[in-house]
Amino acid sequence: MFDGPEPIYLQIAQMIRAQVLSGELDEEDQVMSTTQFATTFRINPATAQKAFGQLVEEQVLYKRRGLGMFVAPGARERLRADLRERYFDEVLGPALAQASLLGISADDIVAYVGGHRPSNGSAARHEEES
Amino acid sequence: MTALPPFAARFQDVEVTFPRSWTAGANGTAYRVPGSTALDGVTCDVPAGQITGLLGRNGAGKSTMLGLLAAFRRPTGGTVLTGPDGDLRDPWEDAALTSAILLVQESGDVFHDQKVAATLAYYADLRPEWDAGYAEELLDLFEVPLRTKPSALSRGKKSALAATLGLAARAPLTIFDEVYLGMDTPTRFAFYDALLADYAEHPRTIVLSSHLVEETERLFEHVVLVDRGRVVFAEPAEELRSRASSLTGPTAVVEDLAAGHEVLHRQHLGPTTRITVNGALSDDDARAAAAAGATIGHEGLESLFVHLTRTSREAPATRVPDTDRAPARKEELR
Amino acid sequence: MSAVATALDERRTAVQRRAVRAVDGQIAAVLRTVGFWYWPVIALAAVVIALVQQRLGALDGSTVQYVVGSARWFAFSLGVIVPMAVMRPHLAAGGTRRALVRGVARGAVRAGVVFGLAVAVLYAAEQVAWRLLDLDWYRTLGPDRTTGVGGFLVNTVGEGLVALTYFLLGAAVAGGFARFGPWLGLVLCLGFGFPAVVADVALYTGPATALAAQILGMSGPLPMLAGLFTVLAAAAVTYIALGLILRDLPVKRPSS
Repeated sequence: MFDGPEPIYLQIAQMIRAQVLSGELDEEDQVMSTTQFATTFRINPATAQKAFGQLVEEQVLYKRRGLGMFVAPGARERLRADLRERYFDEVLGPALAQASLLGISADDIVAYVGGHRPSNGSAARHEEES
Repeated sequence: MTALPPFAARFQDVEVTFPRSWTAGANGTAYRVPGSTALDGVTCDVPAGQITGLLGRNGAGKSTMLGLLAAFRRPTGGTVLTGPDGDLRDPWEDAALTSAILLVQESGDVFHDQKVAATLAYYADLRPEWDAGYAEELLDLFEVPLRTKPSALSRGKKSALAATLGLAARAPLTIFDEVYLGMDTPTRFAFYDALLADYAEHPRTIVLSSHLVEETERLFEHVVLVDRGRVVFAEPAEELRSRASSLTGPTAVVEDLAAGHEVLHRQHLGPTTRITVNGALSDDDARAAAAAGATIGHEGLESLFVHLTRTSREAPATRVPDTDRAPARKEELR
Repeated sequence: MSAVATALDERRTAVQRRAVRAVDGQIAAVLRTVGFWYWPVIALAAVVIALVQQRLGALDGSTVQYVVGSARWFAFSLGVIVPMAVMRPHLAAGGTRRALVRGVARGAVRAGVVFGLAVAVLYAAEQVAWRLLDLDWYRTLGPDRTTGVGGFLVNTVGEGLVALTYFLLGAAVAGGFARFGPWLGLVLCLGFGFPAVVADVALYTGPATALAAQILGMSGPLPMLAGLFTVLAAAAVTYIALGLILRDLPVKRPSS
């Protein structure tokens, strides 16, 4: 767990974001305490603390005094909006740039995407919502 | 008694030299031990309330530094200060501080020929923060019987007893000097877990000395690396994790990219070269590397440790496993 | 003064007191354990010697006087072993060297009381036994007027002070070797022979007492007091030396 090159606290934050996004963690759900995090993943509690700090700033989590950390209302929506905004910039943009570098035409890409469009599941649901 | 806050510590230009002396050999004969310099101008801080990793090879001076903190010995030169943050003092012969600092060494400083309970009672007497219930809980966890003499315990159980003393004392400055060396892997992990859980619940300053970098690095918030009696770096752990990078690719390309960076290590595998540099590579470097067919990798703390403490004799250019170095001579400390 | 500084001051006093007591407690535990078999063995030896001598027709005065001579060396051995064995755990447990020295001094007093009483009781028991057997009790070594309550007191205080001194000497010699290594340690050991001899002759064989009586012309209880005072001085000198030796003794890394 957390073997990537980035600082561990970023990886922890990313893991919690992914859990919120996937619905694994629902709004108003309590997340593990710093201590639980530290002992479960054998990391320094301050590292977990730092991840929580960042997520509180991003309004993904909020702190209930004396109780612990909880998923903020609307966190999932905020995360999705944020990632959606960055999707074209950070994921699709570079992929298309690479494609044009390799001489892959827009038609090829559209055909590829058409063949892979999921017929049901999360992607379709997302479209309805937006 | 008012509870004390976690302790900080400071080394200022600390020097420790051992004079030429006599020591008793295994067969009872005396032999001369040449004088040596254990610490050569050590300056660093141990931040209060954090877990600091003291890394270094065997004989680098780790134990000597820790012995100074615990007032086991005095520095030959410079000053060693410790105490509540903002009120640092010399710990030498100051009962208020020595009872708040605990240095645990591998086999523990125990009454070898009396029951384990006798040692626990002694520590309980001298340590205001001692938690007897927690001590028994830990001994139970590590399966160390209270009614046995430490001299009859296995190496692993001795280490477990030492670890128990260190945790249950809840000292504002708790130091573990490679206490886990005798433990097997499951016990070691049980120790790390107990340490983290108790640290989160009872904040204090903890120093762990180690050369098992890979296994312990995530426990640290701060890291001090010593080598041959000097401090190589003392920095927050998070910053160190991304400090070293590697470049792998055709020799000419990689050499070109590495120009201007501090090269830690160079490894040739036929036409391919792998260079480890100190410092993160910029996005420009990354793009240039990708374009030229070289790959960039991130090196962990362990790699930094290995490369920064390697002696010139241990750096054969083509040796593949970095960790396969000759064991260092353990400096005889007196 | 800040709250933290006050907390440290309170802590210093309380912890130091407890540390001294803890060292003393360790010495007491050892005295209990080894005394349990040592004194019965000594008593048995005195009886066996008396029986053998009587069988051979060579019984000449007290036999306790031969066996109790070993007591001071036993105290010396305990002094060599116990304080140095306590030192490492003591310092690791958070005690200071000063607390160790004070605790050792208390332990030495404890050893003195135990040894003094034990020796006095042995003599008293022997005197009673001889009286019951209708024999005339006397001893050939040391001052002769040591019967009755006065004798019991002199034996207790005298032997006690000697045992105390020997215990401290043992600790100082062990500390000297640990501190200065084999050669200088040996020199120091010979140096400590001086207070040992002083303590020894002051009471056991009696020259100090005799000296006070004959050369200085003292009479009554004065020579005896001069002897006691001499041992006391030897004990004090040893205590000061022990403090100086242990004051900055560094802790070595365990060799294992």
